[in-house]
Amino acid sequence: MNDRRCLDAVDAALDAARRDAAVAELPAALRARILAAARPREVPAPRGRLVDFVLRAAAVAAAIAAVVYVMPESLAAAEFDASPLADLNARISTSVTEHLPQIDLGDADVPGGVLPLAGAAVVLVGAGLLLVRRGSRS
Amino acid sequence: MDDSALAVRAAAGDHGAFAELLDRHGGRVLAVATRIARDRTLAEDLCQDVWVHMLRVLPKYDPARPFAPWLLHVAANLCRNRVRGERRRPATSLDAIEEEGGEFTGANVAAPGEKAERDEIARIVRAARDRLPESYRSILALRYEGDLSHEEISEILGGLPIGTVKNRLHRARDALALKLEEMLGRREP
Repeated sequence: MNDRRCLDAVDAALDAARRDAAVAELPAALRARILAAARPREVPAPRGRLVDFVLRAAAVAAAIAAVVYVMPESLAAAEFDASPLADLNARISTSVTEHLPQIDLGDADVPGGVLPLAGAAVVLVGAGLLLVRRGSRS
Repeated sequence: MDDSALAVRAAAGDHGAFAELLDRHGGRVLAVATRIARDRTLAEDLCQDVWVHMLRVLPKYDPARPFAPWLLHVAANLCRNRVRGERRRPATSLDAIEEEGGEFTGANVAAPGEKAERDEIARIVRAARDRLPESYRSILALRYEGDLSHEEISEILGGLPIGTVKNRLHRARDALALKLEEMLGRREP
């Protein structure tokens, strides 16, 4: 292929690139990405934010007012009568303070004496020390 | 509705108008970015940046002027700045392409169909374009993928004299032709 033909081939390739670009479309994924990146974040206008704040504050105030002024006083009393429980509690405490000092358990009977327990304790301490020394060497 | 009217509406926050502009010009912007960046993934990232940036600068757009050259002006400047800022990546060499056997096999050129030969030459030309310096790549991309006039390219490239634009285009074409001849010459016995 001589020089002139090569130049013509290059021109043809470049013109083909021009035609391809004219009809080229964005890949769907890239299009979606761009649209998502360009979508404006919805920030409410200052007046909208003020109205929103006033409405929320009014709702909280209404709830407090309902608890304080509207709820009938008798409702709290009608819900639960604690007097039987208070009586029971008083009887239990009286009974405990009167009878507990009279309970006598006597001396505890430990079978076998103290020596086997002391021996076992010495063996355990010795085994522990042995393990600690082996651990520090390794 | 023409591009200018859509651009004005998009600048006012009309997302639908923006989407319409994206559908009309997105492919062309991606083609220009691909040729300048020489890398499809980078070009897609650049394309996204171009459109997001375009949305920010859209209020500066003068509706009396054509939209497409203005958009490509924004796109080309952003792409060129980004590509210059990146560390130099070696472009795929023609020798490597030939060795891989994936792009230039020679067998396709020898095939009887004219289309196969045209496709093969187009592949060689694309690879050769990637080896050109950024200034040449940009001019070729604006001229062919962007379909812009010499005057519009001159304006985009910061008032480069039109004679210089033409000269660079001419030299770029010569360089591509030389590379093509070299590649096809190797194939001949």
